[in-house]
Amino acid sequence: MTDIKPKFRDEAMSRSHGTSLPNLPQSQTMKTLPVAPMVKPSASMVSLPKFDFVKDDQVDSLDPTLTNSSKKRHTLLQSPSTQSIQHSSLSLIDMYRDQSSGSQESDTATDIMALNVSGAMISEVSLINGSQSTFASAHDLLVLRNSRTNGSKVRLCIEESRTVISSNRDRYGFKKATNFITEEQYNNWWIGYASHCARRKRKWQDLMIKNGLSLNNDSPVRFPARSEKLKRYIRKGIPAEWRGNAWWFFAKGPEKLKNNQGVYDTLVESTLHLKNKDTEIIERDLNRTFPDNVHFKPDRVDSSHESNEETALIEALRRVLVAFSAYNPKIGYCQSLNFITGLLLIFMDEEKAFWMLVIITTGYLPGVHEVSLEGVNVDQGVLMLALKEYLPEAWNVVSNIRFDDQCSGRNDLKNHDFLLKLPPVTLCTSSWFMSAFIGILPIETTLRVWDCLFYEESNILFKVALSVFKLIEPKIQHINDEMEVFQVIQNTPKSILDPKDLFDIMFKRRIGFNNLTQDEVVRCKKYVADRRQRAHVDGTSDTGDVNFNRQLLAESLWQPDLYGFKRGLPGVHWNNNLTRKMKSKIRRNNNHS
Amino acid sequence: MSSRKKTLLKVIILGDSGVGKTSLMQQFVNGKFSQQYKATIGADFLMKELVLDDKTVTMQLWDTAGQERFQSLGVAFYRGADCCVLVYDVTNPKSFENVSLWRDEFLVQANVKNPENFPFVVIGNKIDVDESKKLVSLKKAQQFCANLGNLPLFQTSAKEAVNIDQAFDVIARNALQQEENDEFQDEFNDAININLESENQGCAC
Repeated sequence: MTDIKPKFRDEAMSRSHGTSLPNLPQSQTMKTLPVAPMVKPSASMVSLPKFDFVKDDQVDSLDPTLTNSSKKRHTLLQSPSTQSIQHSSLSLIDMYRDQSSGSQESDTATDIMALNVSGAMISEVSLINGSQSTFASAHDLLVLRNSRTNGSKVRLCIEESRTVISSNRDRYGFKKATNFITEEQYNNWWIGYASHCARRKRKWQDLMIKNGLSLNNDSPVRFPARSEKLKRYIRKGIPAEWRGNAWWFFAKGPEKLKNNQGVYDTLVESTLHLKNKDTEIIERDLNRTFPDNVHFKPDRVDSSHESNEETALIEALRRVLVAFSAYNPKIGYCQSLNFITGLLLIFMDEEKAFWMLVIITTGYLPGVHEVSLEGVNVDQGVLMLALKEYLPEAWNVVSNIRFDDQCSGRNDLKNHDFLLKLPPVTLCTSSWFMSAFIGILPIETTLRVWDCLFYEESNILFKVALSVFKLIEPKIQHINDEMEVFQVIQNTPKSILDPKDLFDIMFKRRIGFNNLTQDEVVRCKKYVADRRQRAHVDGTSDTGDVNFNRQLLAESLWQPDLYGFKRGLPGVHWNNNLTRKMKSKIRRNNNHS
Repeated sequence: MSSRKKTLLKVIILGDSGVGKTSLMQQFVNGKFSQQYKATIGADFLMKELVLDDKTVTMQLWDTAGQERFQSLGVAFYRGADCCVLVYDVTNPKSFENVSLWRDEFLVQANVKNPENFPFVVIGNKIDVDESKKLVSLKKAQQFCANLGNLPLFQTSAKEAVNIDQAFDVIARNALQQEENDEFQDEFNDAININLESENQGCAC
């Protein structure tokens, strides 16, 4: 009974090796797609594009003739409607909610006309590609187009503070009250924060004008060049109405999209009827993404009858997640991507949200959502090392949490063995990283974190985590019960309503988290990854193994100081570990003499 | 084993994504149901104090993410568990089939001393739905539980609070028994060790 194989693990392994869509024929790659548009259709020629772009750079380097032909095909399908989509995405966030009602009808009319034009072409294309059921039919494309247009028409009501106070929802449509914050607390805080936002926006407008950049009808698409001043402005918050554009700009979205024109549309069309393990979980998560947001779950008008109608954002969420699962089979779908995508969709249209998701999962949270979740473990290892270095008192409490006596005691801290077998507290903190603090911090605080994230890169996530622990530190000093400690760690971030409480710690020079630069994080990640990799290659991660222990011993001989963080003066590599060792050595010598 | 010692029971709730693990736990701990639960990422825990035959115990309930890949993160907290709750959704046969996988995975990861006697409780959730939507019959589930060594089975509705207290009462009692067995066993083992040592000494002479 005890030697039952963990079947899940095996499945996960095979899953990570599978590279293509189960429902798409795999025999032909994109390169074999007929280039000439009017090849005679034959039954044997079922050639569908194979979407296994593991590295998106590959997409750019595909056969140019092919890219052209697929681009052409895409233009045929999309050209009549792209205009209307673009048009509406310009003013995605509207200051005034009731402005949109007039133009809506005319848009729909254009859409229907557009469909009649493209409908004929679609049937031609589907003939060329063979009539596979996974591919979209003309009717599907009509539904798809309408839904996409509706999705980009979602208006957010970022209104003046007075308006918001009379409502039980915030300016993004989230319920103000949570399990940790009451509506009253929210309103009391909002009065001050609203004026902060208004003040910051005026500053931003001045900055933009000084830099000769257009405000583009309150939806600027270009932002100033990198500078200390800009960084300061971003740390104090990007105006909410500009957020989508600003994130997109700073995360280098425009370049990504330029190199992948039409890829998203093709993906969406080809995955319209995709059914597999990933899509099954996606379906289950759609309604559990932001049930507290009106754009995802509208207020029920009639409480007796449950409406099954999906909102435009839920439909967009499905398309982006399914397309992404096909685009990156190494990740497929991972719970928490739903939250990241959901938040993106509130601020930008779905094609941009898709590419942002690609950028986030490769650049900002690499490997974190892969089947093995190894990226999470690496990040957690870095966080633990940073905690040990920057907040030794908190680390002292946190590293003592053991769920049972079977775990080895504190002696495994000496050789950084905790990197191989992460401390239980990482159960809690790994979700901080996986969802980039969505649902962990209150929404306005999360958004401020995201502002910095896309300008300053992933070190921000570690700084945020450390700052949260700084807030936790005094609370857990005198708690003996480890579960109570766990509860404090779990709950503290959820009540940081005012971003100031977090940001004051994060960037205050005296506290010193500024030393945790991006270079440092990258270096430390490499150390942790190597360390874990080596332990893995050596055959087993079981620390009870004799050979393994011998290996560790050997390692500690040639690598005595393990990892040293850079501290203090810029450019000077200060190793606290060394200092401590020297001090104790001197002390010992003194005692002897 | 003083009776003044706070009795802490650790309970792990496992099952496929979307079967209602969070809802069950919330209904038991806070007595409410909401349509607004978000998908659980990583792990989450709640505490509840209750009295079992004059004895006050604290239940520590661990809610987990249902997606397979999260398994690799969860290992640490399986250890030291006193009871494991396996949840499936009566409208989803796949989630029922996976119950035995979850059980196996738990036994492997938790490294329990007596796998045959470890207390599991099986819960079929969402029985509030129309009969036509129920795809896992009670009979099938009963058969399954009997085969696995007469595991207790409950059909519940977290939404309408059906059978929740009954299920968690059994969970708590079984967990308590496991906790006491463990303590007893530890003492027993110590006794054996002492004997062995003295025997060895005897042989050496």
